[in-house]
Amino acid sequence: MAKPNDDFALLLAGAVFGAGAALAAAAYLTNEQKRSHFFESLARELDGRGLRLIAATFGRGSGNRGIWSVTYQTPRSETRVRRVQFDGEVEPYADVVAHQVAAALG
Amino acid sequence: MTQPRAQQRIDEALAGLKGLLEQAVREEQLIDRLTKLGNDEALIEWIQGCLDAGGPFWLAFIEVDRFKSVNEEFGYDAADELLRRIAEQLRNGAINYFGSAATPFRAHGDEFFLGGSGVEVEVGGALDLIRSNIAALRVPSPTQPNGGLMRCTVSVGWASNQDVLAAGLEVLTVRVLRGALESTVGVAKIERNIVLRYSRDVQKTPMRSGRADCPTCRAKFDLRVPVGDDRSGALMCPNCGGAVARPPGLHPQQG
Repeated sequence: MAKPNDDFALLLAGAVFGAGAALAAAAYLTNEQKRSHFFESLARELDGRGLRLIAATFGRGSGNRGIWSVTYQTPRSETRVRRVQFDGEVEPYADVVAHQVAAALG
Repeated sequence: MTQPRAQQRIDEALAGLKGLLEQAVREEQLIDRLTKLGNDEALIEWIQGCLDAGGPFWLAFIEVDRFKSVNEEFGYDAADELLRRIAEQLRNGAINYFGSAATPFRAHGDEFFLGGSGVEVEVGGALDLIRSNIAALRVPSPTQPNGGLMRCTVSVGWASNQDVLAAGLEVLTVRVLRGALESTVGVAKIERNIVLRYSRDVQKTPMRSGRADCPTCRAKFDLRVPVGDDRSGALMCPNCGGAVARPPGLHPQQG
């Protein structure tokens, strides 16, 4: 089950007690790198289908479904927003999800 | 030692140093300087982390009632001391009532948040204890010796991730959750000094609206606040989350 943001508790402990904050910040950097990698993968996948990624936001629906809300531009320069659902147990930033999302749009 | 190996060690050391510097910078970016709590950016990261992980979590929005009057009566420096003491109460409350399984944040001005994973503990009851502890604070003004004691109350709106989805919203994102909590605190502010859980009823509360322009993303939209909400501070843009000045029609005296 989820262990959300234990690293943040560590960050605060670090801020208060002077220890551990660097580790927490490192964990945050890792998360950012993971997201950044996903957006690059998704942009590449969409590009291969003639679409241009503008933005993507991750959220959850009922039953813990993962949902990517993707804003993109079509070859006719129309801006569209689509939601793509996937199995909630899958890591939302996995390459396979980027492929799945792009396939649903293109 | 060969020359290339020495160079390799230097490169590794430099890469390690660069990593440490990046961490230090990131750490600075996530901490509120006044209270040493996580700041708004840290809060967004925290919520997104919960959504990414996919488990149950909850978040409370804690806003000081009539903070403007504290500023006016005691001055900004003194009011900052009150904010630090509220932050201390949240930090203590996280430890005492949630066994450190909750994390406090200060997003902006007098807006605090407290979030935790799981919903097995009685979140509402614990939040009410924190609310009453804050109401019991008496903080001597550092800028006015013998100049009286500062005190305040807070209004609290909270929701679990399931609450928001159960109320009929299709997808829970950082922005959706913060919007739901903004509405909940808006309703709580009608009575003040209470803890209110987000529900369908919050959505049904009579609202008044005004047209607003976001200075950040330039979007134009209708902002809604509950009838009876007498706050005068900025509202949140539903598009980008930025601060938006209250449009005509949403100022307290026009309710």
